[in-house]
Amino acid sequence: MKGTLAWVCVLALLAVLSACQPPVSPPLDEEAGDAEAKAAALIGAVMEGKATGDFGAVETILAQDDMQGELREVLAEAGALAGPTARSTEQPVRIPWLGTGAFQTGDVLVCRGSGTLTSNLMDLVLVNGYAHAGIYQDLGTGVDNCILSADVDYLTEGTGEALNYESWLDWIAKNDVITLLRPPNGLAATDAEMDAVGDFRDGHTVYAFLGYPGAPVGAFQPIPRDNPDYWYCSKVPARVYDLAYGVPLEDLDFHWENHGSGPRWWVVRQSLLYRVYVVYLKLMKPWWPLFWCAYKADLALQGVLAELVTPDELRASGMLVRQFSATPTSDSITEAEEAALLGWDTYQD
Amino acid sequence: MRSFAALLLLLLCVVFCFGEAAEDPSVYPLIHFGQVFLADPARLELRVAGELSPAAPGVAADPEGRLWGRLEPRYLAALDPASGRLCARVKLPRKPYNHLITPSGKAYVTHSALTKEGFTLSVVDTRRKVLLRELTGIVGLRTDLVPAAGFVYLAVAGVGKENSRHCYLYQIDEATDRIREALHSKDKGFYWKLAAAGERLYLGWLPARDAASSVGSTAFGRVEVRDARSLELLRSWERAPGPLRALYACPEQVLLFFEDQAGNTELWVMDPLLSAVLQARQLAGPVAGVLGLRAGILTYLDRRFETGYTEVNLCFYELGAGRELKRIKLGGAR
Repeated sequence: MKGTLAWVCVLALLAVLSACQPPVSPPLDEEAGDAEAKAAALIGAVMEGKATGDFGAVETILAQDDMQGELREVLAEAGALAGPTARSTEQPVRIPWLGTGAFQTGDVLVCRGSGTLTSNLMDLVLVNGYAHAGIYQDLGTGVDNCILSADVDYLTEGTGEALNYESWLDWIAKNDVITLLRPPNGLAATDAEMDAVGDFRDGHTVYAFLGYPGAPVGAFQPIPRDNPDYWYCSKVPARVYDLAYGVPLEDLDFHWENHGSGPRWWVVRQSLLYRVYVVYLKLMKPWWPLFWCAYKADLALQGVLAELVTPDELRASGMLVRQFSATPTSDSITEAEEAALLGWDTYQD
Repeated sequence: MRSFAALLLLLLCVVFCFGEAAEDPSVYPLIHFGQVFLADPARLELRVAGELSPAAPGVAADPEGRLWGRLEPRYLAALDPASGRLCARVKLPRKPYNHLITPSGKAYVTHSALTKEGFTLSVVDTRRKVLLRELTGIVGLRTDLVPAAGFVYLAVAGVGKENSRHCYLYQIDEATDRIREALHSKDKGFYWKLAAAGERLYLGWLPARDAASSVGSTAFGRVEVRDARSLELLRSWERAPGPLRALYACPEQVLLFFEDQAGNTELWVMDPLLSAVLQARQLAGPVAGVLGLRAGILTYLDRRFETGYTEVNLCFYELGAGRELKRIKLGGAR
């Protein structure tokens, strides 16, 4: 009898223990609470602070959500509590003037500069690599604004103006490196595809990279490639070439190479966006083990990046050929110098 | 009698002060990668006046002498040239591109964002430092913007499936700020540059691509003289000796700049109706923009693309004697 009772106790204990032990993956059907919206709101406030120099909204959020100081620590480490840093140089990037005939309609440009809002946003999301993209359209020598792109504008207040033509000056004065990419001969996009994208102005266009207005950034809602209203910079050339080729320019598994075991995914997991999301998951779901939070964040970010196209994906596209990369000190740097400048060494095995 | 003299003196002072404010300043503002300069043709000097956005393509002085230009992320901001400090800024509905300021103190600012209402242009009152309105319905990107006879003229190159690279001229009534499309050309071989003096508007047809045609070819460009109010065509001139690169007008003469085969510039000084060449001059290098002509001294910028960077020079040129007085390098690398 005693033995039987002991066995019953052991079995009961095992049952209790197994009930307490978490499964190996989080309950994916369980809502992440407000974690996504809160992470989005915080990233949005950071970007607004970088645009205006007023970080009051960030401080308000931290005062409400960050009793332990963990979010503040993550933000401080990422340099997210200060305005955009000055460019590393006051000199312009040495690319040819648009009027010299060095560019052709359909040329894709990617760039990185420490001083621009877009670059700051991409820093927060992707850490390394190119931060902005656009596509050149030859509108004649009389027009300086020939680079069709989409820009972050946190002051638009919903009226929309994402699609815009940027100037040679916008590009050379604000960046640290610019690379020109061109399809092989005869395969460049034409005015027809460029104009088709330009004609999406029939509705207001709004900047959105990781979410829709109201949760401007970081809401983990991918922006569909064929959506005519929501635009971010690298979607513009990608959409033009979608129309021209009918197939995507980029490798869809670029960031999720080898099922996430590659270095690119490791880099994405260092981003402020990822880390803020994980902290919010921990705050909202304190009973979740840390690896659940990370797993949930992985899935959310994978879903987004599978749909989005980043400037790095354009740079790595097998359908575009690098023509040159220029910096303020050189009109042509080697691919190895380019990789080092952009931190691509972390992408390597 | 004494009080009358005092009153007269006071009136003279008032007239003099307002007159000074309303006249063209004796220096030309310009910007190069964010650094704002004042070019002084009388002293052949260039001095730094402050800093604005490094991506700003231009600056303009208001009647009080403040220098307005683009400031990130989307302001039109004013510098006090004496202190070099920002003294005003006006938030715009969109990122500004380029602008002009009329003698009445209104700034007309072009934008390059694609909106539901087409491209837009903001009107700013620089005296009160407020945005007055945003004009909509513009179908292309700015190629030029000039004031003339109470109007502001905006030339654009069309953008879009139906009108890509078409030339458009918009007339904005400065009194009401009403905008209307005044001229339209479907010729994609040219873009429009403008110059104005008194009651005349000069519409330059500049080659949109490198023209390789023979001397005198119409592909080199042409100039139309129009009434600045009615836009009635007064004369069309088509005898360009090379690709037309710039034009400038003042009441007594019109300056046309052509590129020669060596990459230098042939300058023709013509009468206001373009019926005779009064002088012909050779300028070293290309002319990128004319700042002005005052007391016989032409002040202009040249821009050369040299192995990977763009070099910009400020040039003072004595038109009568046909000699360059001074060339100051702004530099591609500052």
